[in-house]
Amino acid sequence: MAEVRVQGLTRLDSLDLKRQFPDAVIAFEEADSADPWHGELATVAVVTITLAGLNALANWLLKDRRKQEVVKTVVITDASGATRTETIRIKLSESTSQPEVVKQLASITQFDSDAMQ
Amino acid sequence: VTEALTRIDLVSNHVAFKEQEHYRALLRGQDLPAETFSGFIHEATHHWCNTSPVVSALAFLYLSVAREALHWLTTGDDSRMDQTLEDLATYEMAVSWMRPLMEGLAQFAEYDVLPDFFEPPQLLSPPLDAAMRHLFHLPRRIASLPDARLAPIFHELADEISAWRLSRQTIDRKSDLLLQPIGSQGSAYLLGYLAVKQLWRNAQRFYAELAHADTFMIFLRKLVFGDFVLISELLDRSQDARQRGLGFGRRLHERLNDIRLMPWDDEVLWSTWEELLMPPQTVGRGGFVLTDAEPFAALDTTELVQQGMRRFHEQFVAAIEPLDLPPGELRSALPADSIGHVLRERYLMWLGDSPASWVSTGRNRGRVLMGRDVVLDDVQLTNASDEGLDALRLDSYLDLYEGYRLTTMAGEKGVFGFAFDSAPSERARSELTRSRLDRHRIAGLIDVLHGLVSNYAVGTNFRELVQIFWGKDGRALLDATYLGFAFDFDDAARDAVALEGLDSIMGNDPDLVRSVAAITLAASARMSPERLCAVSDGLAVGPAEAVERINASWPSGHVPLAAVNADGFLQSAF
Repeated sequence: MAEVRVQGLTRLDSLDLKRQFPDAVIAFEEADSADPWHGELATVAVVTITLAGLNALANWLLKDRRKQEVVKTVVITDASGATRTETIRIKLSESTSQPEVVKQLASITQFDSDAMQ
Repeated sequence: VTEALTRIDLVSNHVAFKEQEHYRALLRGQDLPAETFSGFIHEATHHWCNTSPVVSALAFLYLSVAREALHWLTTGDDSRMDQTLEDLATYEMAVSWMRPLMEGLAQFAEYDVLPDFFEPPQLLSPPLDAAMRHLFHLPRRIASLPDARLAPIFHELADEISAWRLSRQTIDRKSDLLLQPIGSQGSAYLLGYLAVKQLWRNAQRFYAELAHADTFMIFLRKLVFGDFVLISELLDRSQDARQRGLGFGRRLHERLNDIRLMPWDDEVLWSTWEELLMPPQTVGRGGFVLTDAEPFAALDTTELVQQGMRRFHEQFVAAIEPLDLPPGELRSALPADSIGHVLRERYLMWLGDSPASWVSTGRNRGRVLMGRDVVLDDVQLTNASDEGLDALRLDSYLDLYEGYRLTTMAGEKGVFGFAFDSAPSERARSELTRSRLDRHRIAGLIDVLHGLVSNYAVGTNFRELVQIFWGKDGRALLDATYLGFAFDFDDAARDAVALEGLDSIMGNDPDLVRSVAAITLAASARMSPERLCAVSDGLAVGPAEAVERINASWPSGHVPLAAVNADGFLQSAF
């Protein structure tokens, strides 16, 4: 399955999101312990690219509407295992809708839009 | 996917805070907001632990490996490679042993440490002291008092810190900590935090003074991070890496066990401990600042302590030797005194920098501006000229041991002036004049050294050596060390968390998780359920309901997750 890796989505966020999108699959990866830099608690969330997964991700990105723009660097792994880095940019306003963001994420992750019908 | 995070490098002790806008505002004379408390005290605690003898010894060991990597790179001589890789493997093993404790203490500072409740404190840790000075304006509060009584101020500060801890941001942060996997192969954060917390809960039974989380933090740091027996194991080159790694782990386990059981409580009065813990003392040695270097020893470890001190000193002397590289690009990047400068400034905590400009008002006299704001007025340069001076960089540092904040002014040719928010001692001033104080250069240099060490190990059996160690004996000992202490050897609590996970125990309900996290924070601040409701009214699951639901699923009364004690106060071991 294709996946998207994103930093900042926490385990607590995942519990919140799964209440709304129970089919979303969200796993977590630990930071590299051999890194000579020790940082604050930060894990990388791995969201499986499905309609529920994209909805969950869109919902999370829209969480803080006080910001004017959300910019997130993500790593996308396609079904063949190939990875690429993408930057998600979403202009936020009160009228930014979840379906719009899901559509944008589907385009970035090359998710089959037929599955969204 | 790595984004800007607050982080610290163990070798150089260089901190990179992510909230640079707040630290820049500090340069303008504005206060740090309360929301910086969590990140600030977390990193300050790391910084303080990193200046300890044990972590300093780790830094010396790492730098000796970096020297050998440089020697090999410039001469092709690999005759000392075996010993060097043994050193590197020992370093990595020891860091893995210490990592849960380092993260555990930093989070303990974030979530549990408060200014002394009941009396003017005898002991005050440098991270808490720095947080009170620079985030909660302690000097200003003291100056506004008609008399010299500190107790009311400390009480007020404790309330403010508790209020921040029960904010939605901190409750979410603590919730995420509770949801981390446990076990040495999972996250070091929850494992280390719970180990520190259970040791603290236990320690209060032996010495009432250790009920103060800050005092306990000083105590634990001294006994583990100040232990020259650990250093003796770490730097014992007569043994291979596996023996050194295991020896280090065994000694650490013994020391934590001592802290848990306190076999000395009948013989050693608290006043004796207080004397030992009373520093922060810094010792200037050959122009280098060592903090908390006073050794301590039990009767049966005196010889090992002396051995550890000897090895520490030898490694220190070797570490500060000037580099001797052939002329070329590498020597330009790593001048002879570069490692010395990294070590010389380990005690200073860098907060950040900002562009600024110089406006001359007289001969070698002027003011410094950030944008249009005057941040330093009437600056007189005594050992430098202001000719041609225009664009500047200001860097801000804290000396956690003397308490002052330092601002350096740098032009194209480097640092030419200092300013302080409070007067440092003569000794500190003299140390500073001998330092280069170019943090950008140090950060760049340490990246070069990490790259060199990493390349040095490529194509060798180094990784295999480390993996065999963890696969064979190390992992079991590491788990035994931390998992046992994390649950105070209560198997039911340990198995519930290790096998099910706290998320499952809390029914994967984020509202219950938040409520339990709030209870853990409130319990540490000795609050009742009613007080928690008053301070944090946004909880979807109230404390009473949370306690009831946890009672139904949590198997241990000895290590409570969320409970109310007989006096009506909230109780939690998490």
